[in-house]
Amino acid sequence: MTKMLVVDDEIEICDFLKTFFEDRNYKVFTALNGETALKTIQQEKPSIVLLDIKMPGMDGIEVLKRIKTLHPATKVIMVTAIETRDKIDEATRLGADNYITKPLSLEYLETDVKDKLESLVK
Amino acid sequence: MCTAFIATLLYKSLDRLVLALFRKTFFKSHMGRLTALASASNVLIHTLDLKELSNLIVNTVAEIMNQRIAVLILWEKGRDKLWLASSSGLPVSSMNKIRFEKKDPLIPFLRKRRGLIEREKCLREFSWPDVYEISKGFELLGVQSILSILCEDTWMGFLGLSGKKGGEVFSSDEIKVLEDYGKAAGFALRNALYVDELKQTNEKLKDLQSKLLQTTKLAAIEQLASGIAHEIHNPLTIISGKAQILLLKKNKQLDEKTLEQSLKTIVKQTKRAADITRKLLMFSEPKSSGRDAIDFEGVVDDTISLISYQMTLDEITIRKTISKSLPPFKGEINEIREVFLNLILNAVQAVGRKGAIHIQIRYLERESLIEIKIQDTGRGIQAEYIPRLFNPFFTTREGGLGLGLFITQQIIHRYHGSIHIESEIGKGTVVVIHLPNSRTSWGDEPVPTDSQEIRV
Repeated sequence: MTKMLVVDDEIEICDFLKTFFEDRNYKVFTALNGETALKTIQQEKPSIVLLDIKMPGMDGIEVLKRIKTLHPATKVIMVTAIETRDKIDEATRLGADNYITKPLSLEYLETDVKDKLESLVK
Repeated sequence: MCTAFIATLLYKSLDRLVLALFRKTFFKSHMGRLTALASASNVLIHTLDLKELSNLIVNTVAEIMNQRIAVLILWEKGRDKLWLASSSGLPVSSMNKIRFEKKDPLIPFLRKRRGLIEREKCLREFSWPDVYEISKGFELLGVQSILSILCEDTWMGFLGLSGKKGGEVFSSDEIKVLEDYGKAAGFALRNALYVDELKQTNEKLKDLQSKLLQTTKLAAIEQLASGIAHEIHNPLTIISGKAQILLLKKNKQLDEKTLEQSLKTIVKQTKRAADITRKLLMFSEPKSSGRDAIDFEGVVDDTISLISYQMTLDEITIRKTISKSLPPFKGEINEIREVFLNLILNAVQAVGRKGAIHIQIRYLERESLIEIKIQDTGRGIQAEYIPRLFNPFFTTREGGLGLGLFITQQIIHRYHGSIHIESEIGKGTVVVIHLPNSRTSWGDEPVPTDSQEIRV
């Protein structure tokens, strides 16, 4: 079963993403902040992370940096509300595998997740 | 006693009926009339409204001196024009025809001669064709005498009078009183004209101020934009996510509990998104009467909720200590909101990550002042900048407009209040506002305070 981590400071967002991907046979972990996210990554080693950029405390960009240093193979999809071009460019430069904007199209998100995981297998 | 009574009457009301009754009872005698006009002269100065004063000058002289027609023509220095300020007994059809030019022979003559001029005497001084022009002027107004209105040495216009019944000329006593009346009218008119000019300037200023207020509002909203966009996008994401899941599951077994929970979340998140837009709209509400009862705590809460997302991200703590029994305060709600938004936004920007802001509002019983204190643990402001903080366009923030504190001060001054800022580098800043409040039925009971912390 593929392990996925959803990081968002909005519990409801974590909630429905968990429901959606669990129904599609993923093992889903959730984290409401960067610190918890890094701990979960350390323990569970998920293949893919859905990562919100704007969060209190450690923000998504910082979490991305650490993931890519400690576990470079982990696929990271950035989830943004509205970000400036600069932020998105920074995320891409730091190794983010894609970014999607809120509100989310679950169908598109699923395709994208599958796509990233396939590239991981290859 | 009688004079004071007449004065009060003239000042308070222009009711012609009352004046006519007075004329019948008091002004029967020749001397009574002159005394009444002399008293009326002293009253004119109390009227500062130009239109009201013009009517008062015309109606008073018409009633007291028993004039069928009285016409006030004023010279407007700024536009160098003569215009009909007020008239009594003049048919509307003639009113529209009255036009005087500075170059009409009558005007330079009046300016030179001053005092009261009778038509016949005046015509004798001129030869053809001026005599025709001048006589036309008298006829147009339907008057026999013209009294120049003077303020010190400045000619301000004239008062046309139909004259005495049977073509009799005014006596020297009457001329003396009328000329004094002309001087008093001139003095009062100059004041009223100043006030009129001030009013117009004030209107222009108000217009400019409201435009400036609009600009600062827009700048504040721009600062809020990113936080507000998140506050709208996050609930939308949740609503859309929950709905998509329900759609995907609709043909499968869907348990009641999940369905109910999802729908409840959707309703709740819709309200959340609607709340933030409503709060934002409050700042663009049109000007109110300015007599809103201000609920300071409500204003503070609304402002905080508007910036709550920014505060969440930066882990900023806001503590409020607002007295539960502030005296009633009336004002323009939008202006008060603007003050709090500007000051709280400044504090949020100053404290940065993990900062603390303390908002205190209490009543200073002895001074009869409402005190608003907004304190932050921010980086502080350099001492040399403090005197310049309220200057328009002064800013220490990159991309800042420098209008927030300027506008805030303007608003506070409009309520006859004061605002000052104390700051220490590395320790923080405190903004203190004092708003005066007339004490009504305020008891001596201690003012309970309610302190609560909002951790977001």
